[in-house]
Amino acid sequence: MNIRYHIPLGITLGLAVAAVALALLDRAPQAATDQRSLLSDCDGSLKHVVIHYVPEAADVVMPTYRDFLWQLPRDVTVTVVCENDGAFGDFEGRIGSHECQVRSAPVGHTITPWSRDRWLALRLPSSYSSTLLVTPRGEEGAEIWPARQGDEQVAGDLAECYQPHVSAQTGPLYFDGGDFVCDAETVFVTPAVLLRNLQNTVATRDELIDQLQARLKKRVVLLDDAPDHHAGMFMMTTGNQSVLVGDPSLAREIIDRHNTDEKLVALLAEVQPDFSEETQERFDAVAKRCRAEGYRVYRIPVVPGSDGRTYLSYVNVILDDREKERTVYLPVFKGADCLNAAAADVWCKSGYEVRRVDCTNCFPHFGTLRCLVNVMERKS
Amino acid sequence: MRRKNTLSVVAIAAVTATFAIAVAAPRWGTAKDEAKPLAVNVFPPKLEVEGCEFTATTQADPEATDKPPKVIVVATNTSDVQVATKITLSMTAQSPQTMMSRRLVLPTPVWTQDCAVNLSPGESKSFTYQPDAKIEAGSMVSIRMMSGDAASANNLLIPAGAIQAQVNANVTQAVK
Repeated sequence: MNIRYHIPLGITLGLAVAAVALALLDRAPQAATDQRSLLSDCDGSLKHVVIHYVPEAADVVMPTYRDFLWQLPRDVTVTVVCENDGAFGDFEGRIGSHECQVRSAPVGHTITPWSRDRWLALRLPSSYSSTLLVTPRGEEGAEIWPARQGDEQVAGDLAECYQPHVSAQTGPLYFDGGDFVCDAETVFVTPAVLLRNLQNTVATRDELIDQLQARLKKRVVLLDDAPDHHAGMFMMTTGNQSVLVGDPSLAREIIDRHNTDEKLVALLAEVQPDFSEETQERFDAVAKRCRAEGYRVYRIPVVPGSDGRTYLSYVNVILDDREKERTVYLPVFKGADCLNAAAADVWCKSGYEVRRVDCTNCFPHFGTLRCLVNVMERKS
Repeated sequence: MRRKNTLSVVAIAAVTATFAIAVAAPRWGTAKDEAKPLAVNVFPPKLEVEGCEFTATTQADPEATDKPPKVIVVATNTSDVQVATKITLSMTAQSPQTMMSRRLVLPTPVWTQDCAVNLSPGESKSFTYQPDAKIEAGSMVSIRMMSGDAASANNLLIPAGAIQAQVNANVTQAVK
């Protein structure tokens, strides 16, 4: 071959190869976008979770983060979203020993400590899939709450940090991530999503369900009656068409048997339990609806507070479904040993190994473990 | 000699392909804006009573930091007969318990007002109210219209006072 043909021939071949490669790569993410579904709460092993860290909230969140990270397996990555490197340094100084991989994501703006409500993670089961983080149309209270205004940007920050494996998209609806609990097939949605969107972004209830189904790629069960809180405070999917639903009456029975326990009495003084019939009916309505949707329902103690926000909840968990064992990272509360033990027993009977995570300091702020931890990726 | 020629062409092809992919790849690689959200209009909640259609919107006074927003009700008689009816406006307020809160507290009713109308067919009237409610600083408020068992959806939450500009200034300062 004459040498003067080498360059044009080589360039032509190179361009052809590049064109084919780009065409294939271009199609792959598009296909993935079309089929990606909301990450299940109970299927697959944890691979990548996201937490927020605000030094001013160290006393509130660090006992929970320490217990959680200390027990996480080595192959789990934890991204710590924080305002700057100084905040991450503070986190590292307080977190103690852990085997999981911890990465910093400094974002350059204020945030709240609550990761769960910021975005929903959508993925294909394939490990080659990229993750799409869908954010709400707007954060409730962002106008009066600078940190919550910063929260609106976190999904985009994560997408920049992990591109091209992670991307972010603002959704057309108002929601909090905590309004959704799901398994492989079904996503349960709180009435709050309907209240926030009806006549504001959608005209009818059916239109909302259609939009959610189209976006989340799962059967949508929109709860009509439920406690006025995030779904993860009153129910959790556990796999095999089963759910756990909170039951205040179970907690009340236990409390009545331990009414001389001073620590428990002190804790309950903080919660101000609401064991009213009306509240009980709301939890029962969730259980009834889940049964009607074909789910086996098991009940677990819960203490709802009279402010409607402060809960001692044992379903605000993170689940890790591995080949040989299923693990629940279970919120526990100092002073509530009898309730903690009863809840752990329910999870054991559901086939989970229980790892306890202290949430004593964070529950007065209206959320516990699942509210602080969002899951970005699981291995199927 | 032939092997050398082939290697030379392959090397040039490899360099070209690598360069082309590196240049073209970013168009699919990043994605804060991977796909545009569905276009959905935000529209104010409506309530229909006896052939009259009511909408309520809120408008914060940019000068007032301690007053709830004004409520503007527009009533339109969409029927072909004279209609005399009334609705009740209800304002609720909620705020973060602390800046560490995960959620706003449950909404509390802070103001109610009856709004009576008497409209000819096709007539439309606007009513403006300045609620006299005392609302905790940093609260968000929402309006709802009710008539008997019928009720509109809640309006989207808006700040109770004109604190938007102040909050924005704080955020800008913090980021700087």
